[in-house]
Amino acid sequence: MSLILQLAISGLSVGCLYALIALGYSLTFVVNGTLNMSQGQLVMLGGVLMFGFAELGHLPFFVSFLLAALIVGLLNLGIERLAIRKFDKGANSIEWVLSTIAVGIIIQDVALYVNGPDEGVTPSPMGDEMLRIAGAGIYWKEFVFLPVVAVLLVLLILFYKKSHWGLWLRATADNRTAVEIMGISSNKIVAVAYMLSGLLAGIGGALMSTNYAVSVDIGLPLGLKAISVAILAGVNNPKGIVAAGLILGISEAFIGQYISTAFREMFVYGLVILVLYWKPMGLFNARKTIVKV
Amino acid sequence: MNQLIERSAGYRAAAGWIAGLAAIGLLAAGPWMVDTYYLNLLFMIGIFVITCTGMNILIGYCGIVSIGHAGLMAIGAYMSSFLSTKYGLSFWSVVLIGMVVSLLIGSLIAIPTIRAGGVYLSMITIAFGVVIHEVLIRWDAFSGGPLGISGIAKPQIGGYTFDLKGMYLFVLVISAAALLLARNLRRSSWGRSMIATKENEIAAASLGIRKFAVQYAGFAISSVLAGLSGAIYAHANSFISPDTYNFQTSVQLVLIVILGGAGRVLGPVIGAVIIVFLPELLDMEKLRMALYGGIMFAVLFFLPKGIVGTLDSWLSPRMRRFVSINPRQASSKPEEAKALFASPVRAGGQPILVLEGIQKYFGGLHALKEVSLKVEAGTIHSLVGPNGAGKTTLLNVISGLYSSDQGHYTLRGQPLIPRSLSAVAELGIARTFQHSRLFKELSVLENVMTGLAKRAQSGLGASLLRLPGQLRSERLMEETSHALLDLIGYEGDRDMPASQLPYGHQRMVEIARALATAPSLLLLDEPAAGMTASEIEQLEQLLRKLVSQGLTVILIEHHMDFVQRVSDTVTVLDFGKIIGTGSPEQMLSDPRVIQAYLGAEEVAASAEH
Amino acid sequence: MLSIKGLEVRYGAIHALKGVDVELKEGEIAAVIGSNGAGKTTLLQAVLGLVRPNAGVIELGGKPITRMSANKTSNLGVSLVPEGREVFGTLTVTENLRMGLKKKIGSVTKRQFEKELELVFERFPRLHERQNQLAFTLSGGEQQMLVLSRAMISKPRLLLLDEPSLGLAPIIVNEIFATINELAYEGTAILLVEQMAHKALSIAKRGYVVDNGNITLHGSSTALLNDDRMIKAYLGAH
Repeated sequence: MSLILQLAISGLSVGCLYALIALGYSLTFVVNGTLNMSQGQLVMLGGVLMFGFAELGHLPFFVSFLLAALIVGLLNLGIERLAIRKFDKGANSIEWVLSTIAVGIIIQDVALYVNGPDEGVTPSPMGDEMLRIAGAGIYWKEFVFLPVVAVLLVLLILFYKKSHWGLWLRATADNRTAVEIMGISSNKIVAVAYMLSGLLAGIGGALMSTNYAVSVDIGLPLGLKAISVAILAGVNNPKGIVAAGLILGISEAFIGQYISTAFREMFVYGLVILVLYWKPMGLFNARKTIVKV
Repeated sequence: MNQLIERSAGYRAAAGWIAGLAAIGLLAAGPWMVDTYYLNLLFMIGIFVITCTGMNILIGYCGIVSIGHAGLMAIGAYMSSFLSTKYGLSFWSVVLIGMVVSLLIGSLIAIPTIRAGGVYLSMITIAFGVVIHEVLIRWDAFSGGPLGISGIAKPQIGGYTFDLKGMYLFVLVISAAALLLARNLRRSSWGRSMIATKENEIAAASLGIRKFAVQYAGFAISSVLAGLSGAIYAHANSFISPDTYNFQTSVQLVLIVILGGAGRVLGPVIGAVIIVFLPELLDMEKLRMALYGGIMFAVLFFLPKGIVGTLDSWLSPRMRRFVSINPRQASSKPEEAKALFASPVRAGGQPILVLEGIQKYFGGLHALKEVSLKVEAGTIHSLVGPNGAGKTTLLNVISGLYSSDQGHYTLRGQPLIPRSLSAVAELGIARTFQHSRLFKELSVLENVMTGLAKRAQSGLGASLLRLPGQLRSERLMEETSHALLDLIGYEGDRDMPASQLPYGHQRMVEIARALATAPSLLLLDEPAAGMTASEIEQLEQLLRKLVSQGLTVILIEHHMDFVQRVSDTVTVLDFGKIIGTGSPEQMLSDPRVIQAYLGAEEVAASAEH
Repeated sequence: MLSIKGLEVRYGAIHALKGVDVELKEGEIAAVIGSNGAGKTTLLQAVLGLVRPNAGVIELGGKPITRMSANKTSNLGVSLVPEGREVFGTLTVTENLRMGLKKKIGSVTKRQFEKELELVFERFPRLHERQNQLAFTLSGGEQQMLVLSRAMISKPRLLLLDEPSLGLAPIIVNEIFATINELAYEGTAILLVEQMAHKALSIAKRGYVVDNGNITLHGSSTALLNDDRMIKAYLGAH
């Protein structure tokens, strides 16, 4: 019983990380039909920067955290300008897929060159204390992912529902022509979406580095895991993404425990392919496209 | 004149063959001209050319980016190595098995992802590559784990064991053959359908082309070629390990294709030469992937058509001026044109299409309100009404682009369920679109030929090999398309890319393309928009000619005098409702119609004379 | 208020406007009439700044706005109601109206916005009933009211209307036109592109008939209404 609880909690912790990263895809995809295929590498960068600032640079924890998130956010702003804007011709064009993949391999290789292949864990301010719930033991530094991501999600929802930028983002996602007619530059709004998505990646990476060993080659598999979450839920369905992320995290924990760790990745991708057979637009996707007359 | 042109085209083709054979001959002398180091590099180029030719079909023709083809190469390599080392099967049989398994696993990935399309596909292929890599590392019993498989037997034939020279020559032949297949495919109905689907899915579907079939074909070919090259590499190298087939390799493969020029037959050759030699030249150990990323970026920015594509688009207009155009003389023989319609429905006062109570909502917008309509066979039935009245929506539900929320359709007495564009097209309903949807990458003639794909397409194998039967049907398609272009009175260059056509001509060629599907019912959405007066006159004559041969036309048009002259029946729509059907004279003087158009009660009286 | 002189617009090889002159005074409606593809929509887009004119001058209240971006012209008080309505289908009615304010949240207090909303709802009570509904669930007429209100909520000096009658039942068209008339009466200058020629001319002071990028006929609306060439030109005869 306690093992099951323990697995569930640590599965949820990983799952909310997946959800956070996958939301980064969704944020931009709904706005202009593109996403950054190097999102995973951005998460990696967030983690490596966090470790670098906090452990090697001896900066205070929260300063490092903010710096890592901000740098990645700004980097994604640059990526939007260079690798997306010129190639943004909708979901079926292949140029932006290629250009962001190119960005990803450049980031990874340069990070490898600068940082080397070492991995590191940033000490969490939560220390190494254990939290005991009904006989299950879990590290506070792992458990803390849940409230942190929950707070982030609430902030994100508030931003979306209450701020004018949130309104503009939703409006651009809905009808870009009409936004232009209002005299609002839709390019600017797309850039904001990318910046936000980069921030999420940076935060995700920095957060991750407080409990998991982070090295330059975690980016690609992590990005793929997150995109699997997005595909399972439907890329334009943020609520579904959160649910799918959590489900995936828990399933992984249990499969790793009861079946095999080697089998885990196969399971995830096999599931994604099955979902695509059955529901190509994602499991939770109920939204109908609105066609103009 | 014509003969001269045909002869010069013949010379050009012959020159192409001679140049190709000369290049192969020169390369075949390679082993005796360069040392082992360079021979090895040349061999690697050959391996890349085989894989990337398949990927070129996928990326360049189908517009699908797979970033997991290293995984498919790995399947070919490991399958054949495993069987040959474990069971001692000969190279020739294991290479075949490798190709088949690669095809099967490739299909497993392709079938769901093609349906989802776009970015999903790229993502899944990346994941596929990563999973294969993982599996190879962990599945010791099959793959030998991280250490890989060594001591893989070299191919043998008779008493001869292939050494590097032999393998090189073998790869040279195979890669030349692969290039030839890609070239044949591009000149076949399959290739045209692939490009059509890539460029405009909706227009291709309206011609009855099924996206899934053509894209799956592309994926299948690329899987087989990847498996083949993987198996050859394994047996030439005697040793394979998982790290040969990682994400980086997949990226490298894509880079070769786009650097050379996606969709250009020779693109992979140029790309592979550069990607294999460049790191050698620069002598780089570190940052090699960053270099590839940088090149990819630079290509996308500065050479979006790749090297071969850029050269070609610079050269071919100049060549065109040099070798004059191909103005096929109009040879409009009425009986020939008549034979073009496979299923003509005679005008006999029978309604060909009956609509009953069609309803269509877009959210709260009631776009079609209980639309009921009878279209008599062999007539021109016009739909008129102010903008936004629902005319195009009606056309879209009939042709299966939108589904209606309610209503019954009857086609030639049979109930019709317009499920999808391509399904409706197969029932003999063709359409054009309000805005030109020609396939810009294809020539004028090829555009019309895509319309014939459904009727006269040969098998994929026959198309790849250019078998006599396929050649015959290609020639027939060409003839038919020329005849259709004659029929619509197109007199310009037929080998010109459709993107360069003036607007009025685009509209006419689109009609020819729709006619190529041999429809019994043709739906035209504002064909005269943007046409000059003389072009409209030409269109009018064409429509009369078509109708006299038994075709039925539903026409949406704003040029009222044109509508008046050409229509047998006019139906007026306003805010989603039919407000009247009758003869053109009747309808265009009907006060309700004038009111709908001009929005004024008082003019109704004054116009009634 | 608005003065356009010698306006030319090209899209590649297509010469969409070939030297167009239009004059419009405060509180006046000018109707622009013509067949599909004549260049009417291009004219409106050029005034707002969505397309760049190749030649000519556009002045708003005496100040040149010829090559200004839509962002700047809208700040100067130009609003466009596009053809085909272009509501934000997945936003609520209120959010659609909020988009019309364009300004950032901080610069408009909640109370100010609510006051604006009240004015809108007074004019169109039906929007009041549906204020929390998503816009795509509205009927065509309601959507037209919504985009009209969305354009008006920023209190523009110049309103550009593109085919407001599109696909609407006559009774709703009458309602919309009555509102347009009111807006002009309240002082807004209105450039009205419309295919329902008579309806448009009945509320406009002046009319311009555009054909193939040229103004072929213009004058006071009463004169145009009695001109034989009108019906012909309008019906798109060649």
